[in-house]
Amino acid sequence: MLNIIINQLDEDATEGALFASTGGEDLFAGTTATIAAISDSELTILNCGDSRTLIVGDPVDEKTWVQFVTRDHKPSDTLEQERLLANPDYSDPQCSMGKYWIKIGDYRYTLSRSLEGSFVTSKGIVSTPDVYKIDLKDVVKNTKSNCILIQASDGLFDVLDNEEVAKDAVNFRKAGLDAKECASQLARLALKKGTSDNVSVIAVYLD
Amino acid sequence: MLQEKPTRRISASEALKVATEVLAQDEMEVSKSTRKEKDGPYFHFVMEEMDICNLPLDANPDESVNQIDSGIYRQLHFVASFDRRASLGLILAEPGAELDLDDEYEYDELWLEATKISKPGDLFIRDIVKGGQADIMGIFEIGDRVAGIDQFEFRGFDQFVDILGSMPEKASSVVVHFDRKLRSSNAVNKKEKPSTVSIASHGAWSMKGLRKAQEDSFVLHEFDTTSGKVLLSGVFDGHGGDAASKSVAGLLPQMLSSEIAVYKYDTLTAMLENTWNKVCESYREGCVMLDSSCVADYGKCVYFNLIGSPMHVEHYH
Repeated sequence: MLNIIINQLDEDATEGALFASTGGEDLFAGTTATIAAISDSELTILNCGDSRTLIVGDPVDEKTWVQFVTRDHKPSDTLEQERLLANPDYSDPQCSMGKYWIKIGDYRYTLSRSLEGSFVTSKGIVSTPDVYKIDLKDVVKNTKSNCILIQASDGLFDVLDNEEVAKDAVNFRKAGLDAKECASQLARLALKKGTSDNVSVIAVYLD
Repeated sequence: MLQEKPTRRISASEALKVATEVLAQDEMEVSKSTRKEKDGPYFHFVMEEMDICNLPLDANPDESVNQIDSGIYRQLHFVASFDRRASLGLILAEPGAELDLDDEYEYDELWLEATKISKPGDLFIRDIVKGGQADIMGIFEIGDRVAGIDQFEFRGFDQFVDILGSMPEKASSVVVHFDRKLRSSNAVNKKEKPSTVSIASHGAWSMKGLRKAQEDSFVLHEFDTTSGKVLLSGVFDGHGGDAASKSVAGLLPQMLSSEIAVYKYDTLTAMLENTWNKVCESYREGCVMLDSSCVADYGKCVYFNLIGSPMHVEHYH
């Protein structure tokens, strides 16, 4: 049984959970979440973990294509380190060879917040989200045109940075692709760039 | 198997034993080939059902809350798995294609609305065959667009049929992705309230990539609220199996729907945050209560995921 489990879970430094040399049987599935709810012109974004929500568009000042981005909850983030170190019950973030992780039980976690089982939650990988409330009117005003809300798992952001994603998405929209095609093109691009993770992309065109 | 306390639930290996026994019993009754035919779609059905947990409303007798008129949601992107041996039970057409349908075609309005903005090669549901596979599932609407098949995109009806035909011989079911448009008439809104922001187009795409398993999940739903339509979208990147990401994708829309129905006048932000916390609690408790019985057994979800595809159950004893 254990063999099968190990086969199923790829050992990958970019993934949330890593197997330690021993491996354990109590791995509880976990998930990050980036959620957006849009009504009229009010946008609420909830983010927990290292998936991202971006708001992009043609820049007004020609500097940046990214209007808004959520903060990744990773052990390398200073705010997250402060939070973890402040609580004696929590596992401390560790670092070697430039890679950060949190060791909990038999597993290493490369993110600092996510929805996990009770044990891992009690050790500091909490599911408390960052909540953003955004007035979309301002955002749409700040972009000349082609405002897009993009949500994606880290499979996309491992190989493309925010600016690249933003520029590509805006160009896809300008080329007449609809939102589904824009999302699928971004996912394909990530695969072409060599991502080893699952890629999920949602695009919402805003006017 | 459905115990509310995770500690009282049977372990994955015990569950596997039970499943093996059940399968062995089946085998005695019916020949192996016919059973296999039934199992594929059935297991897919079980997997999909597991993601959909019916939740009770927070009972609040003081408030006369009508769940029906508020909080209803439509899934804007959904996946259906069909038995490959039978017809899909859908009549698919590209916009503008001439079809031999009854003169009095009752869905013309829906059809025209859905295909108003479309591109050559887009494929829409023109009609649903009564009693067919799709009709029984009951999740389809006229005008839903076929977004992809398995992990492939396609252009036009012919290519769709080609891909359908080129599915591996062994596959007993075929997975088809659909998406649909927002109901809210954005164009009208825009004229009435020029200051509001409208959604021009929305879409999602998810790929397994080089991984062996797809652990990501996402939601794209439209909600009816008293103050208008709400679009809910989210991406969930699962690890250690897809039990968590699939559970969240299943629970979040349902719980938000209850939340909207009960707390009509609260802000969307508060409702969403509240819902997320409830989803997390439910997941950690490992089950969701419905008439004091457990409707979502995550132990079982994990169990299915650990051994990979549910089709492999019989191989691991």
